[in-house]
Amino acid sequence: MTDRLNERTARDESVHGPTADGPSASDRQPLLAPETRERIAAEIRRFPQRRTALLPALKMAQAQIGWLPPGSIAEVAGLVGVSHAAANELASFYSMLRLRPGGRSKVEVCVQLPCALAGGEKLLAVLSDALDIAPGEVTPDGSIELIRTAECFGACHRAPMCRVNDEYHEHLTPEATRGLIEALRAGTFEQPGANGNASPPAASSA
Amino acid sequence: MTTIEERPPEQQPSAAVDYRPMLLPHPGRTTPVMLEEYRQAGGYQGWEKAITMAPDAVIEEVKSSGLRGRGGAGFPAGAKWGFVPKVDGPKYMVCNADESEPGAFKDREIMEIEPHMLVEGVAIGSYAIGAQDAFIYIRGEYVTAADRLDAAIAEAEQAGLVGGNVLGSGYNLTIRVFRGAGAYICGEETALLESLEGRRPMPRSRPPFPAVEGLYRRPTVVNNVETLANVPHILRNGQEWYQTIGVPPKNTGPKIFCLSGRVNRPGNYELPLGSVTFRELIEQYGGGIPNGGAVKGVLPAGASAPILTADKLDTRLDYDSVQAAGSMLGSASLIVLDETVCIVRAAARMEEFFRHESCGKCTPCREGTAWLHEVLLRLEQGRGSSADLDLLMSLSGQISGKVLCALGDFATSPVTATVRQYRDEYLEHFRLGRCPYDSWAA
Ligand SMILES: Cc1cc2nc3c(=O)[nH]c(=O)nc-3n(C[C@H](O)[C@H](O)[C@H](O)COP(=O)(O)O)c2cc1C
Ligand code: SF4
Ligand code: FES
Repeated sequence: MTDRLNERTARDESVHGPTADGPSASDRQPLLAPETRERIAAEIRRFPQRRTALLPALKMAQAQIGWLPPGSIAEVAGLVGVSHAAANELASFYSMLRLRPGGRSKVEVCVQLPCALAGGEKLLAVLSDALDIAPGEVTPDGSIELIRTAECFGACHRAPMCRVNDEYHEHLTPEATRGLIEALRAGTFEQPGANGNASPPAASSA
Repeated sequence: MTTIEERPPEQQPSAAVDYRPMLLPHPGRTTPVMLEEYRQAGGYQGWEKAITMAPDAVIEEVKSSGLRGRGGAGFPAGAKWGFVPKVDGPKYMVCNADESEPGAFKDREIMEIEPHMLVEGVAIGSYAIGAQDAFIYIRGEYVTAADRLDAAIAEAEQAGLVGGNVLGSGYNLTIRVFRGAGAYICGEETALLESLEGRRPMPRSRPPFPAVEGLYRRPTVVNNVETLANVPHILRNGQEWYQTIGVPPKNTGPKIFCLSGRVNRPGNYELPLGSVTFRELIEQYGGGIPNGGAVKGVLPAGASAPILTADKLDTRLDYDSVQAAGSMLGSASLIVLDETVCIVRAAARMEEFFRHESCGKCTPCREGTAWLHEVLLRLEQGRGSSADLDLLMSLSGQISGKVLCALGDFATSPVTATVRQYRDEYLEHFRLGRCPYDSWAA
């Protein structure tokens, strides 16, 4: 499981390190599709101050690419009109923003106390068995990433539960879990571009 | 191969208190109440009334109602609105919909099922403090709730209830939903404002308080979802009526109790403040403990307030009674632990949360939560000594009161309250050299 404490060191290096800015965004092929840039421009117009759009804009970039490669963060910073470091500070802080590529479906199992008391740990073990990966790993074909999380998703009364990408799967009885595993194996939830391949922007809003 | 035990789905029990819920009037419902249905049930009458009143009169009405903030601290809502200075220029109303406390799922249900109730509350609050811009800051994971709020705001705009020249009054109000990205600290109101400004969400030092210098350094009120969802009812039916619910003067109105953990029927239960005890809520609403088990302790406010032992179960569920019993009602996210639960493991799991969610700004909180977590893990495995209990208490003492925001204090309560009240169970672990409990129950 990611640990914000350890990550922070890495983040601070990435903010201050010599490679932080790299070649300027304009020197390269842009990572953000025209549609994404449009959405970000509209988001900037939506708020009293441009910078408020920084977090939504990063989410829009991620919705297109699946994660946030350094170049995409620089492009977002340029569009919003803040420094690359300012954009990096957000990208490295929020747990929903991802600085590394992951599986095309992300299965996040909640094991915070209420869920752990109602089958969350067992759900994690069942999924881990069925997918043959440990929490924190991605299946060899890159399709599914299993994540153990101690954050609470506000679904404790419907435990055990997990989130698959942005969708809640609650009341995961053994039968429901079997159905979920089948659907996962069939690629039902896979999001295009989540491995970092260029792809059209996802339809969901940030 | 591991298996998962069947659990009964969420059910609604027969009421033990004669009360008709108003914040969640449709128990068990999964679809949103949209504009037409909301209006048929009297929705937006409070707003229509408020906008004919002077803003100060609206504040007075909410003050007299006794409504206290439902976000945790229980601060009187009307008084908070009254702190906003009467100055020219922008002011902001911000609804805190970041709900991320372990065990909390009430704001989610309000927003998913009654999005218009929140929109109406935001509108009334904005008008009262003289704000023409309002934000609903919602945690990023609540995608469904955010989409439904967006839809409700669009409907309300279409109907002239928000937007330009509301109800022909000349008052303009823009309500925007802002979606977060996963960080508990954004629930802390000044970190939330930093997040809204596009900065790294680390709490600000106070004073100045947000009422004077908040969003974009302008006067700002931050209120919880449930707080604002109460407001339409107060305006529609009057503060005198509101005071007949609960225990006036300091514990008025309905409260949603989130019940989770080792109970047969976990869920949201809306009841008047002070109308039931912990025991009544657990037994008569929550259907008791699985397998007829016994309660070991209850966390009244998720991971953030001290656990209460089973001898406190007859405490009434209101702000003052829970405080008198040695804890806090907070967001009323009740996590029930029964005799099958290892208290050390439970404390370690909660501490893992705080370790992960510490924003890192204050060294005692950043380093201390990691230490506390490591020591608890070690103790749970039976690899500790009584010196470790002293270490836990002294580490906690170095965090509590020495940091910038309440998260640091919250982070010590799973530790200090369990070490004090369940000391024997800690001792048992290192006497045996292992945890005496089975792996996680259920
Ligand atoms: C770490 C931390 C997390 C918090 N999380 C929330 C939250 O998710 N929702 C909320 O309404 N208040 C939360 N609060 C309390 C807010 O800072 C603030 O007091 C509250 O939103 C005020 O609203 P109210 O007066 O209507 O209760 C949190 C406080 C702290 C210190
Ligand atoms: S107490 Fe903890 S969470 Fe609060 S500001 Fe300090 S480091 Fe951040
Ligand atoms: S503890 Fe898992 S959703 Fe709350």
